[in-house]
Amino acid sequence: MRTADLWSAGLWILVGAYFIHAGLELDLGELRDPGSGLMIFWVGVLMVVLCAGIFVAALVGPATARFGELWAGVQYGRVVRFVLALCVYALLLPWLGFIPTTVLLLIVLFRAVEPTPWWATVLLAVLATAFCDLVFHRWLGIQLPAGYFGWG
Amino acid sequence: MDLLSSLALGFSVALQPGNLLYCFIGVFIGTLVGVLPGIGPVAAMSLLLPVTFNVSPTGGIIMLAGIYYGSMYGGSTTAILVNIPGEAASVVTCLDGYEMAKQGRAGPALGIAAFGSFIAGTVAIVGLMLLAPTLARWAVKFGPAEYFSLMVLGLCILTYLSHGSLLKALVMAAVGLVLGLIGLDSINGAARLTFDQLELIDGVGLVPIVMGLFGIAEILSNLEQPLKRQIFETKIRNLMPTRQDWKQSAAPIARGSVLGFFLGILPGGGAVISSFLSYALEKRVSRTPERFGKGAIEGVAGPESANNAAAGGAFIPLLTLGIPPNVVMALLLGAFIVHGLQPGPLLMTQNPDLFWGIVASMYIGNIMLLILNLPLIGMWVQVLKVPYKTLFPLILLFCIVGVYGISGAIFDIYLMIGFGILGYLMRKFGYEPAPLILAFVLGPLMENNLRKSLILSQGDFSFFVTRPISLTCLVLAALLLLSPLVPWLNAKRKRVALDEES
Repeated sequence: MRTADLWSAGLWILVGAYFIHAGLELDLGELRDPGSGLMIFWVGVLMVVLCAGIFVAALVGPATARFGELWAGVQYGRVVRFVLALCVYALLLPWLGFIPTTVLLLIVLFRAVEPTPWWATVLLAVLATAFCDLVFHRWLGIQLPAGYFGWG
Repeated sequence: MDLLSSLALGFSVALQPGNLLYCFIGVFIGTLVGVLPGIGPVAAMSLLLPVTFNVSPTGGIIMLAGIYYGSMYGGSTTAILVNIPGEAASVVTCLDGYEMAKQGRAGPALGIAAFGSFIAGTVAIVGLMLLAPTLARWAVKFGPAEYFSLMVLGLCILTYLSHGSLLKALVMAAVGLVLGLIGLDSINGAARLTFDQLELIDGVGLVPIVMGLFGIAEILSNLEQPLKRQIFETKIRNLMPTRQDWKQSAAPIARGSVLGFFLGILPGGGAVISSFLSYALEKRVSRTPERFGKGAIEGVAGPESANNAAAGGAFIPLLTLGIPPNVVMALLLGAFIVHGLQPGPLLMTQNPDLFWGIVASMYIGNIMLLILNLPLIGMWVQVLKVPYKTLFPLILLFCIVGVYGISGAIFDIYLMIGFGILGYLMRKFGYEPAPLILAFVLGPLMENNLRKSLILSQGDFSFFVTRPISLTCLVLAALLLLSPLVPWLNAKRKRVALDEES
């Protein structure tokens, strides 16, 4: 019975409970003068009720996907590498600036799925970054992070 | 101002060189993102939202609108040639379009999709032009109770029409509502759910959420499995449909245009639903339903017309009521607000040049799209040959520029990553992102109207049911939510969801 729906419903019940708590903390006010927390509180209540419905349906209904089945055949490595690369990128971006950080990120990603020749990878990464910088930053005036060295 | 002089004003605005250029950029990018699987109009519009800061509101909105209806054209190319829908609204086109391509009739399939789209797009613009002024006059009578109830109805329709579980769709709408309330309370200035983060005082941005839930989550889903694309290699010729093709397609195009237009107006309806219903309708009225799925041209003409008509119809609730009926229109609402404009019943009287300029630009955009999608079809076929391993880092790069460009905050990139992971997990567990996004946009409006209604009525909830429009909306919403309790209706809804998924 440890189905995916039980897990997800349980998690959303916790989120709903937090919304109820936050709504109460914010003050519900009165009906003639509703407070900041009124809507958050009632949406939280609604969420808990709905998720309880999903939970019960998963318990009594026909078996849905088990937790493990959702991950069968998944290439974890690629997904995890992609998320890690993005997090490192976000960390480095304010320090190094847009151009060097983006070139590095693109090199990593171009080689993440299938091996590509180094020269093609670097060329494509530099060209794509230069295109973005030229179009969005120089022509359209969108601010991109310059970093401490002004390489943005 | 009568209709013709209004339209003349619109053309005088839309034909200005700058606006023509923005219209072209919009429909070009729209076709491009329609052709490319993995990036849709939502992500493209989010990316270009910051670009519109530096242009006139009319130019910016014309460009963003062009992306939306342009993507409907482009989606069919991928569906016909690759058997992968470039857009969700083109899923059903794969069934007969790809079969036609396999039989050596890719040209007529692409041709009828483009002509059908053009005709339906034009029908929708005429409908928009005729219906919007009437609806706007009527909408002036709307008070907070009517707006609140209409938004409740919109959310209920969207959740009802979502794939799979209604309960899960409602949970997503609830999460979206609360996310939309993060930040300072507009009435008393209290900070809500900000966790003492300065970046959250102004609330969570729409673009990081959209880019995360749609852009990043899509990339993650594609990365977890090897993506193999089989491109139809035969040279495409004879794009002009034959006389027999036209004979078979005329009625489906007409029916698809009308059906799509009215479904597009409905909050929560839209291009995806209309294309599926059009396909089902054509199959039902056909004397030879067994041809469907085996290369019937009606199966391309009807749905492609319907999704384009729906894209046009969707502008009506946004421009006349200020209520976005779908996620794309929610983004467009964001663009209006960024430029200090409030779409709604007064838009047409206060900014007639903007309103009629957008309408006229859609006529021009449709002609541009016909040219882009017929003589230049070879160019889009070449675009399709870009491998996904090269494409996804570029999509990501555009997502990053789009997110950072709006706020200039690294925090928003983290938000995008967070919502990307959430969106990926949501797909795994069968939760749809669309209700979340629409509720996120409607959340602050709904709360504002709810609180205003309660203050006006001295806390009396009967205020919502003693006003006829409000009562009608609430009754319809309740009927939709209760309909799964009726076994045959529930079975029908599940069948539609399964059809869409398959």
